[in-house]
Formats: sequence, structure tokens, C-alpha cells
Amino acid sequence: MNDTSTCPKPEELQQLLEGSLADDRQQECIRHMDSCQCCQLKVEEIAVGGTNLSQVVEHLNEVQPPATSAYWPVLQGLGGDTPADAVKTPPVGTRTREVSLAFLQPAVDHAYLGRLAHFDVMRVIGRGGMGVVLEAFDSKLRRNVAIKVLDPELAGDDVARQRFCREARAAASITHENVVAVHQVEKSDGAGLPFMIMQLISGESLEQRLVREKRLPFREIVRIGMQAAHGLAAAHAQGLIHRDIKPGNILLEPPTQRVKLTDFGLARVEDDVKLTRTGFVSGTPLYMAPEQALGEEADPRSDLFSLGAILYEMCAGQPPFLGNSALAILRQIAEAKQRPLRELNPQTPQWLADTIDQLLAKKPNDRIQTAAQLAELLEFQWALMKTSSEEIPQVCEIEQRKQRIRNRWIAAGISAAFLSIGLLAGAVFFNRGGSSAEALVSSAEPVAVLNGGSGPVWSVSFSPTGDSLAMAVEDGSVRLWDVPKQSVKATLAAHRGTVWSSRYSPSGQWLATAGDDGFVKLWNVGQSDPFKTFKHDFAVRSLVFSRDEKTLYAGDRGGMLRVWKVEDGVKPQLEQQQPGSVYALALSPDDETLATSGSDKVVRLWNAKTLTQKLLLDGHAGPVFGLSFHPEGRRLASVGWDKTVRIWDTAAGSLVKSWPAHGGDVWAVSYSPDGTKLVTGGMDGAVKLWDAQTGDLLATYLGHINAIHTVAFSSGGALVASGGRDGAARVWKVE
Amino acid sequence: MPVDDSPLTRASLLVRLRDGTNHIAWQEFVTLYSPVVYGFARKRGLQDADAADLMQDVMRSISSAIARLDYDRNQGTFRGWLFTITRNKIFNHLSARRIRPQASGDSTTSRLLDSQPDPDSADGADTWEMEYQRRLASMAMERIQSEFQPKTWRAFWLTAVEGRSVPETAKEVELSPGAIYVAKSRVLARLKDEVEAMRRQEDS
Repeated sequence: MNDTSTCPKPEELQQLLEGSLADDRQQECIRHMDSCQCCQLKVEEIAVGGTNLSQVVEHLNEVQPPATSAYWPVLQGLGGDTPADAVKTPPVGTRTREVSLAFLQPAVDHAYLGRLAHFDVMRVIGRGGMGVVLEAFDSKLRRNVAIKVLDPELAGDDVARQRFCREARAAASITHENVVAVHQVEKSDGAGLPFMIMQLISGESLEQRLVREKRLPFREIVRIGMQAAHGLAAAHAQGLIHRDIKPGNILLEPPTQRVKLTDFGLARVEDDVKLTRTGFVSGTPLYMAPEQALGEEADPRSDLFSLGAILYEMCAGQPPFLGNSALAILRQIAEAKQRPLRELNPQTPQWLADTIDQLLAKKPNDRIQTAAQLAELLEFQWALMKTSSEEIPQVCEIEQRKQRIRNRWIAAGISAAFLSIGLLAGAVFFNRGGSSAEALVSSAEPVAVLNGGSGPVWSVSFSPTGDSLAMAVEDGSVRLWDVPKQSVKATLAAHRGTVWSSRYSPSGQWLATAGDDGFVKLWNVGQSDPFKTFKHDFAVRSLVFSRDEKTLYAGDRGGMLRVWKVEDGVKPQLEQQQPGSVYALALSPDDETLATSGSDKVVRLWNAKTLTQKLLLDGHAGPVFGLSFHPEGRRLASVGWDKTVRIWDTAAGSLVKSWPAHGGDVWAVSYSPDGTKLVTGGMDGAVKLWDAQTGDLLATYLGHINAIHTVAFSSGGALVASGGRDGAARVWKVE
Repeated sequence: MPVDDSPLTRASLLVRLRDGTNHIAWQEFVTLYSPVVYGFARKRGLQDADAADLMQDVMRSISSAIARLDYDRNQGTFRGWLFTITRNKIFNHLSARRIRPQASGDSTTSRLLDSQPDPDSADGADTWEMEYQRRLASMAMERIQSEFQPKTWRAFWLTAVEGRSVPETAKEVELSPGAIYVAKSRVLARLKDEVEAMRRQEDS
């Protein structure tokens, strides 16, 4: 017989829980547990079996929101179970196509349909998913307006009503000539129906025009794209995303057919409506961005994707992604590559096809990043198109040498156009010697386009033989390209986060890479794992090998310079702290002098063996992004935020020459191996070749859609590689 | 002892959700996850109306995504995906309020935003997981309550949920302290099984 004072065995406690103990034994155990704390705890421990369930259930009674919470109507709207005592809203009826106008007060005049506040309603302009659009006369301000009224059926839904009001107020904060002005948001007297009062646009929508014309002339396409991008830029600057850019929301205002974007933010209201009614968002998502299709958050770049899809349709006569059902279209958007635009319309200018492709990138990071950038780009091209009397299909072709004479007047006209829009520094060069203006835009197409397609390129480096190119990519990889074949030989999964630099050693046997993860890695070319790894505390932005390949210099975002010996292990041989971040390093050809630059606007020259500072070169007005030593070591070129190139005498520490180089920040500079030329790359997307002595512009290579981050000469000096935000490296032949 | 006639055992909720016409699946989904999203948003400092609004926003995103596309299981759990969407939306909600001055008179927005984890980090995952567990437990309790004597359930409820002392509870439900402990543990043991079964279904 068991004594109540001895503890039951764990198996017995288990049986006790299951109720499988004999009755009398069970009573004994329960009595025992009246006083045995040990068993009280133990039985609960067995019950929860090592889980945190006891903790989970604590105060679960308090978990429900109070009956007055906004939670309940929303949950009910979503179709979830609600307790009977929760606040109820009237059930949502089935969808009717006809929106009743019963909310209108009787008209004072028979010419009108009715009255809403002090607006006399003339007619119904349209009916949308979330309500009705009316044309009305504002009897106070005595003008015609458009009024969008939330579907009365939904006005009982607090969330829909609040969202409608909030989005309308937000839209009212945008003032731009390419956005339909929202004058005010009001509620009707009786039913408290919210409605927004907007500028009335008498023209048609792009949707209607596309039904009529199918394809539009290129100049018209570029103009519409440009104006839409301007309107989006204004909205994005206010923190507003449209979320539903489609031809129906692009209005064309006569007489100039000026673009007016409408319905900012209202897509969300419409979605709510559909969700409330059917449980699912439906509709035809022809212009939706992949991230929206996947249910992820829309951001300003989603609007850019949609605009890209519209540009595509205007060129091709059909949207980029088609399917028999919403589901099929969404799959296409999320997974498929659109048909090349020039297959559908071979007349499409290459630059336009490239731009549209970039807008239609699946990953937002691979797109043109801002509406303002897109607007600027289109404005530039539009200016070019405006100057020619006929439609020029291939803008770049006008610079071709064989056409040069015939087109000289066009070039002059282009210059004028550039002047008028302030883009002169971007692409045109006036010959210093002569009086005649001559465009020095190189006709050269790149000899190779190495498209990584996985994010911005931050560094390119030729192998000594010139047939391989190492490309550092923002997705953490380093691509090794076979340049002649334009194919990837190897992809190294090099770093977590951006790879900021990848450099071949002078002999070409090794590759050094530096990444956002603070690591510097050394690789044997041809192997997929590094043979050495060095660690910094911050992202390593720049690297340089000594000529003897024994030493590697690295500079990081925390301003730390470290000297690593290839042979040695984990500790840096030397280190030195400088203010701000380090962006660029360069080593003199004799391995004696290290030049560094960064966010503190100065260039520093160090004794490369001791890391003691020798000279400080002061002159740039902002951060210095690029450095390059002349092959003889007496000169150093630096470039940066202030858009200039500066040439320094490294012995005297004095400025030899400087000139404005690009229309935006200059990110990269490199001397040619013979020291006669300099190549620069800038935010304006241009690669420029300069006479290193005189600073004369020799050639401009256009092809990148976006900012250029890096440029490099091949060791023979015959090739220049450039890479940048558009995710591609381009290789140019130097004449 | 898993309950096999539970609606959750018929097929994974997710699979049924993809069939856009399955309203019952949608209802189950909303019933299960809405409180998790709402509770998490509140714990992240959002006010009642904002949290409710955000909940609707998240559910809309989910609805538009799973109805149309195969959710890729390899990318992690469905719940993790939902968590990511919720967290991003909270972050964006607070960011938007900071950008739009007209919508934010309160100085707490910046503070809230500053205290939000970077949407890319895993911070908040513990809070999220706890909200989910509490939701599952809450639903499981509704299901199993009828399996117990009212006295047993009451003993469990008062001690384990409301946190009342055992002597106090013993008095109210007229059971000995030992019987209270056993009652509480029996419910907990059953609850554990039910929660695990639900969870298996959810994760399958």
C-alpha cells in the first residue's frame, strides 16, 4: 500500500493525467498533492511536456480587444468569426453594377440630376469599383468640378470610409501640373457620405486613346512617359505611392494632351471593397508590379514598373504581360520575361527599349530607382527628338561619323536643346580650338555588354591579359567574365551584402574582394573558395595590391586603413585611422606612396611602408570617390561629389589642373597605362575619355542607363570597362 | 490524441486558400491570423484603429497573393511570410506617418519608428511567435472546453489563465488543492496535444 506521504512515480503522475489510475490510487495521489509542492510542479511539468504552454495561456482572458475596438468591424468585414456581442455593422450586400444616386438631394433645377452639398450634379462620368464619378457645378466657386463619391453601400464601413478620406486628403497634398488636383474632401449632410472634389479634365484617358490608336508615335510616347514620370515624382516626394498606374488613370488634357494622373491611393480603397465583398482582390492586373502581384508592399518603384508596362504597350500595341485570366497574367508578371519590344515593333529606338526593359525588371532594385531620374532621362531624349523635323528612330545614330556632315545642323540644334534644358555638361563638348560646335559623342557601341542582371556593379577589374573581367555586384557575388565571348566563366559567392571591390593581382594569379560584411578575401583564380580572409569592423570599400603582390591595402567605411600581408595570418601588419569613410585607394607605381580619399573631402598621401601621413591634398568641395596614380607616379587624379577631376603633383602636394567633368557626381577615374589619357565615369551615366595633359574631352561613351560607379583600363590600354547601377559592365574600345 | 474531424485536418489551410472560391478556408484563415496580426501591431505600439487598419491591409495583401500564386514553401514557413508582410507594413505605416506631416501631429511616431526593428532583421520574431502561440492556444481552448467537467475547466481557467491562487480557487470551485492541480494539469496536457495537432496542420 502506498503512503500518501511518499511521492508518486512519474509514470503514475502520467497515468493520473490520463485518468487511467485506479480510483483509490488516484484519490491517494490527489490527497498527496494537496501538500506536496514538488508533485504539484511535477505534474504540470509532465502535462506541458517541456513546452512553454503555461506561460502561453497566462492572461489569455485579456487577449480579446474590447467590444468598442476597431478590430471587430474590420474582422467582420474580412469575413472572420465575430462573437455575438461584438459591434455589428450592417451586412454588405451583393455587388450591384448600378450605383444608386439616391444619396443626392433633389435638384433645384431640372437641368441637374440632383444636388450634393452645394454642388449641382450634371451627369455621371463613370462608375468605378469604389463609387461613382460625377460632373457637377460648384455653386459657390462657380466652376465645374469632378466629384468622386464613395459607394453608399460602403459608407457604412468605417474602415472604407476612413481610408477613402485619408487617401483623398493625401492626394490633395500633391500640387503638380501632371496630377489631377484634389480640391477638398467632404461629407454629405444626410448620410455622411464622403466625397472628393477634383479638377475636371475634359479630355480622354490614355486607355481610350490606345483603344483608338493602338500604337502611338515615339515622340508622343516619350512625352507621355516624361510627364507621367514628373507627376509621379511629385507624388513620391510627398511620400505617396499611386499603386494602380494604368492607362485609365492617365488623363490627357486638351489642347496639348497634357498628362494628368488621377486616383492616387484609391487602389487600396477599391481593394478593400472587393475584399469585403468577395474575400479576394480581383480585377485585371495588366500593369501591376511583381511585388504587388506577390502581395508584397508597393513602393515608388512599383509605380515605375507600371509606367514601364504602359510605355511598352504604347510602343508594342499590347501590354507586356498577357493571359486569359487574372491568375495567368499575374504568373506572367511574377515569372516571365516580356517579349523583346523590338520584336513587336522594330522601329522602337534601342534606348527606349532598354529603358522600358529596365523599368520592367522583376526586382525593384534593378529598375530605374526614382521617377525623377526617369523624367530626366525622358526629358533628355525628348529634347533630342524635338530638334529633328522627322522622326529619328535611332537617336544615337545621328552621331555616326558617316552622317556627321549631313547632320551637323542637327548637332548644333541638339546643343541648343541641351542648353535650354541645362544638360549641356552631360553630353556635348564644344571644341576649344575652333568656333564651330561639334558633338563629340562617340559613335562607338560597346564591344561587349556584360549584363550581370543581379544588381548594381560597384567595381570592374581587367585581368592582366585583358580577356577576363572581374565584376563586383551588389548581390554579394563576383562575376568573372570571358570578355571576348561575353560569357560568365565563374561566379563567386563572395560576400554577404554588396561587394564593393574586386581586383586582380598584378600577375593575375589572385583575386582580392572586399565586401559590405567587412571581409577582405583572397582567391586563387579558378577556385571557388578563398584561401585567405581578413576582417575589418566596417564595410570595406576599397582595395589595392602592391606591385610585388605581397601586400594588400584596404580601407573601410569606418575610416580604418589596414595593411595586410598576403603571406601572414589574421592580424594586419599596420593600421591607421582617418576621419569619415574611406572610398578610394591608390598605390604609386613604386609601391612607396598610398593615396586615400573618402568622405572628409581631402586626399591623403601616406608612406606605404609605415603608414605615416606625408601630404594632404585639399581642394574638393565634397567626398572624393575615385583616385588613380599616373603610371610614372608624379601625378594623381581624383574625382568626386563636386563633379570635377583634379590632377595633383604628388611631390609638391599642389593642384596641377582641374576641370568640371560630368553633370553629376564623378564616381570613378583611371589613368590609361601610358598616362596620356584619363577615363571618368559619373552619375550622369556617361563614360568620358580625356587628354590627361590638357583636360580636353576626347570621347564620350553613352550606353549606361544609370549612374556609373567604376571604370578601368585594360593593361594594354586598348579597352575601357565601365560598370554601374544598371547592373551591366560595358567594354569600350579606345580609339 | 489528435482530433481528426477538425476542419483543419482536411487539407492544409494554405492549399485550400489557393482555391479562390473556398470561403470557409478564408474564414478560418482570417479567424486564426487576424488576432495575431492585430495583437502584434498593438505590441509594436500601434493604436487600436491603426492596428485594425493594418490588419485589414495585411489580410488584403495575403488574399491577393495566395489566391493567385503558389506560395513558395522553400522560402520559409507561411507564418514567417505573413510575419514579414506584417512587419514591413508596420514599418511602412510608421515611416509614412513620419513623411506625411499632416497626418502626424504626435511626436511619438518618430520614437515608435526609431524603436522599430529594421524590417529586414529578425527582431520581433519572438513577439510574433508568442502572439501566434497564444492565438492557437485560445482557439484550442474553445475546442476542448466541452470535453471537461465545468468544475475542472473552471479550476484550470482560474489558476492557469487568470492567475488566481490555488487556495482561492479551491474555495470557489469547492475542490481540494490537490484536485485543482490535477484539474489544471489535465487540461494543460489535453491543450498541449490539441495545440500540437493544430500546429502540425498549419505547418503541413
